[in-house]
Amino acid sequence: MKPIMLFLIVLISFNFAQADIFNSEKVLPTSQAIVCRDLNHNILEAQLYDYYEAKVLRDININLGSSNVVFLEKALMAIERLKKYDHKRYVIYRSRINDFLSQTLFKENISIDSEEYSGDMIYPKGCKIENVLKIFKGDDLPGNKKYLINSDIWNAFDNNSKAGLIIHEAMLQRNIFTLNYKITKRMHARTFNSLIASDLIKKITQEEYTDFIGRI
Amino acid sequence: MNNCQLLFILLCVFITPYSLAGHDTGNGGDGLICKNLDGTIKSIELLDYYEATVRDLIPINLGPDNQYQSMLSYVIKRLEQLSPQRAKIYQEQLSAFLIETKFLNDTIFLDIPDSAHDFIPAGCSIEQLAIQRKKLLKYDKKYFINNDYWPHLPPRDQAGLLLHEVIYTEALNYGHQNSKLVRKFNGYLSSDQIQNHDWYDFASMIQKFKMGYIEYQGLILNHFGLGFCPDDEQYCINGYVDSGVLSLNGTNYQIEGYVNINRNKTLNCADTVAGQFVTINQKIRELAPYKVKQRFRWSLCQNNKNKLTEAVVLAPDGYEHCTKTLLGSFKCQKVPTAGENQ
Repeated sequence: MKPIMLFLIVLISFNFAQADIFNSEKVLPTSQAIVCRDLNHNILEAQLYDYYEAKVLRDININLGSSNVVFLEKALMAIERLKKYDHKRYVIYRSRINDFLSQTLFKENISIDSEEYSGDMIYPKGCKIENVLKIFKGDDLPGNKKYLINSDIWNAFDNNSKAGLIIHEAMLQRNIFTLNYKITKRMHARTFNSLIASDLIKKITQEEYTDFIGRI
Repeated sequence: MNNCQLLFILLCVFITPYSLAGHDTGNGGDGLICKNLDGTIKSIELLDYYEATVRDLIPINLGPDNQYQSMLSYVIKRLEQLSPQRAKIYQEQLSAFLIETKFLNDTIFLDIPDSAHDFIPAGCSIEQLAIQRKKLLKYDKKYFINNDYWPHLPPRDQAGLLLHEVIYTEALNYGHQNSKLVRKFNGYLSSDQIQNHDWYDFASMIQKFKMGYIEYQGLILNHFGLGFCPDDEQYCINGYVDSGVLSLNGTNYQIEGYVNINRNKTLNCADTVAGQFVTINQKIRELAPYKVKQRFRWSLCQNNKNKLTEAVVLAPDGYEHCTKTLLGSFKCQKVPTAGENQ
């Protein structure tokens, strides 16, 4: 092989990977919540954006059991629905969900900034979209933790939203080394999250599931 | 490989991922909202129509009726004269629009940074009136309309918003990165300007607004160009047809390849699929005085009296050979290359 061809192949390989390389140098994207606050900036209500979107834009009812079920159980309940369609993915997600809390740093009185545009956003008047979680790559966080969570918003979440946030991150993690963090991936994760957090997934066939996964 | 070739490859390699990265999230129509001092809505106008009338000085004309549905029918009918296939697609999408739409109250639509507008009146702001996005689940809605604004929109602008959405759906296929040309095309389709345009003018507008294809007798012409045809001393359009059927003198021909049409909409030549003229093919094979190594390119051509006069067969076999065959009486002739003339 001519040296110039070899050089080009290396260059092309680098080019395909470079988006991830560049992204790894900065803070990776964030997860969003709908947060409603009073005039004193106290949180009145907070909800994971995925499930707000599911309810308001898609008319999907989130069903993760009764409100007193703890969030980790809810998260596992949701991915259990995946087992029938996609066992491999189910196993991977289960492992990540179980590891989530040990990889997370909770901080209060913080504001997580991001210029990320995570797709079209519709939200209720009087509330705002705020970042609830930020992913770090590398050793940025103490103890090599991976996630930073705004604990004020987290504490205002109900157990459904807490479970949903963990599932969302478990889904997105899959793409870290393979695909760029394109904004649509957040949208796709939100959609997938809504699907398995509801009984809707029971209505779809294996073929429809495979088609959906192929599209996202 | 010389330095220029290398530089070209390097540029392609570096530019490609970024040029392919566009908005694959939602898009949607914007409105120009002007409010009173107390925050109540003073006026709402579709940004497309504000720009058409104020910046481009094109008066909007959506017909005599005051219902937005009638206005849409009026626009579609007008478009049908010049682009029937596009009109049909728009009509289908408009008919299904409400089924595909969710109206949302008491919500804020975060502005999608896709308007790329030039200016707006002082004291007014651009707000997102609608969002459209790809359906990921089959139960998904495609369009979301801010119902806090929708009832305040005049029927003319309601019609315009729906048009904007169906135009944008089409434009996304052509890689539009923002809605600027979509708004211009919407203004054009919603005005009398289109009524005064012939087929050639319309094609030039399609080209200007980067709206993909034009149509000719049921054929979809992609990648078309407008220009002066020196042979005929008139303007003509040359376009590419992926696949289509053309009816000429009572016979249907399968068209694939380049089509050349005069400004007055008469056909010059159209490439056909090779298999159609088996008899000609056989004759050519019998009569051609040279060995044809590569596949033929077949064209049907008309004379200036719209009569199908000849089938032209181009047989590139290393040299540029061209064999012209009159239908009915086959004549084969090798066109000499420059070297052979000497």
